Amino acid sequence: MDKETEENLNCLLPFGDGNDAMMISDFVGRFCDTQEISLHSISDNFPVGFPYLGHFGHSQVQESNKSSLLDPGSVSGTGKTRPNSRKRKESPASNSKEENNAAVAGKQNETEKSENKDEEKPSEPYKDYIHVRARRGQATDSHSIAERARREKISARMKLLQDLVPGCNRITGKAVMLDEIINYVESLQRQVQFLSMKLATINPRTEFNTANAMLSAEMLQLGESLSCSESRFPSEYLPVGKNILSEGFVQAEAPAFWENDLQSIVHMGFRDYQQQSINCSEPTVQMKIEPER
Amino acid sequence: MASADKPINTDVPEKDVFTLHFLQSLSNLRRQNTFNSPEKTNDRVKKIKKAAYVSMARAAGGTNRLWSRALLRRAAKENSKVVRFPRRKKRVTCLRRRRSNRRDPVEEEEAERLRNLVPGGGGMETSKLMEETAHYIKCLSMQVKVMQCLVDGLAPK
Repeated sequence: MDKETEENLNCLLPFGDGNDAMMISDFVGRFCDTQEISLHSISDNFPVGFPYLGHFGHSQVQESNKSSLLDPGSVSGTGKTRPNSRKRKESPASNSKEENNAAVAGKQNETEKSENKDEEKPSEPYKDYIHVRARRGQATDSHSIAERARREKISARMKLLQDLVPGCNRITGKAVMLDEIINYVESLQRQVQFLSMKLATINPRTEFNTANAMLSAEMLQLGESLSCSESRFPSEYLPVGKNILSEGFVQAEAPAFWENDLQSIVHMGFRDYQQQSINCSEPTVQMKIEPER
Repeated sequence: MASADKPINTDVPEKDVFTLHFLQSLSNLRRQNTFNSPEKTNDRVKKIKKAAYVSMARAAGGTNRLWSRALLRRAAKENSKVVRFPRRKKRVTCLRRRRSNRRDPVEEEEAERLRNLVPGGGGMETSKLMEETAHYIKCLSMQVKVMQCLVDGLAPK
């Protein structure tokens, strides 16, 4: 190493003697051999690394610094300015060393951390794992980081479910929330069961052709809902609905004359039930069907 | 580790899609059985219920959702039919539940109950289970609305 670099390194050291500079220049040289990083970028690193020399003892931090400097270099050849502050989910061997460093880095200011994360994230879009920075005062075990990520995922989804299940705005806490969700799903399934029972008992009672009756009844209700929605929503639903109705039911039932009946029913539905609510509990629906038959 | 996907998609098609599928399945049922013969009500109830679930699964997502696939597969097995699933880009079905003790024991009890309720829940991780539950709840409520409308429309005066 030339005199100039040694001098630079010596200046950067807040404490320590020339020996330190030798050791540091040694591994800087090693680093420079493997990577093409200018001295300036390395010297930018050193103010980060050096304060820890005093806290944790020289050799230990050097090792961790070394490993952190080398490891990110081996993975990504882009000369990052702060590689030793990055935590990556790699093999556990390198993980432990980097975690030491991350623990060390965790004592930094949080503003520095956040801006680091910002400048690292956009520059690595091709990586397919998350770079997580250990938060202040929390464990940096790889397991616990993964655990935390998982817990956050679950809580995000719990929030989603909370919006779905009615009456769960006040409830906080996973156990109670999950109880509510389970109850709601059970009640919905029971409702399906109950309604299918009702349908089964209703159907054989109708005198005329059940399929036609049901389909036409449904057409009417759909017509109602479509017409009501027409007043509220944009009218693109209406032609779509009509397409579905015309295409779908041609497929389901063959006779051609029946289509004309349907058309007339639907038109009647549109005209007469335009004002009524979407809630389709209309006994007058039956009245309209019977004269058609 | 997987990358974080921000938008969780739980879109459900409109009411018409559900009605269409349900009515088609019901008309199929009509064609199969003659309702003049005095059948046991229970059988009919069960058939209608199964038709409701199958039509819901088909309307809601077809084979794009885990719960609908599991439901369709289960129904096809009962009828001894073969269900063909198109090849998917992501390996969704073969997610083995890892036997690690990273799970919170308090919430896992409830998650177990949820797994029994939601079809296909046995092979899912907890976070995936909750996504599927959300979609399942939406589809179930839509189906209930459709059936309610039908019952109201057909109810005798």
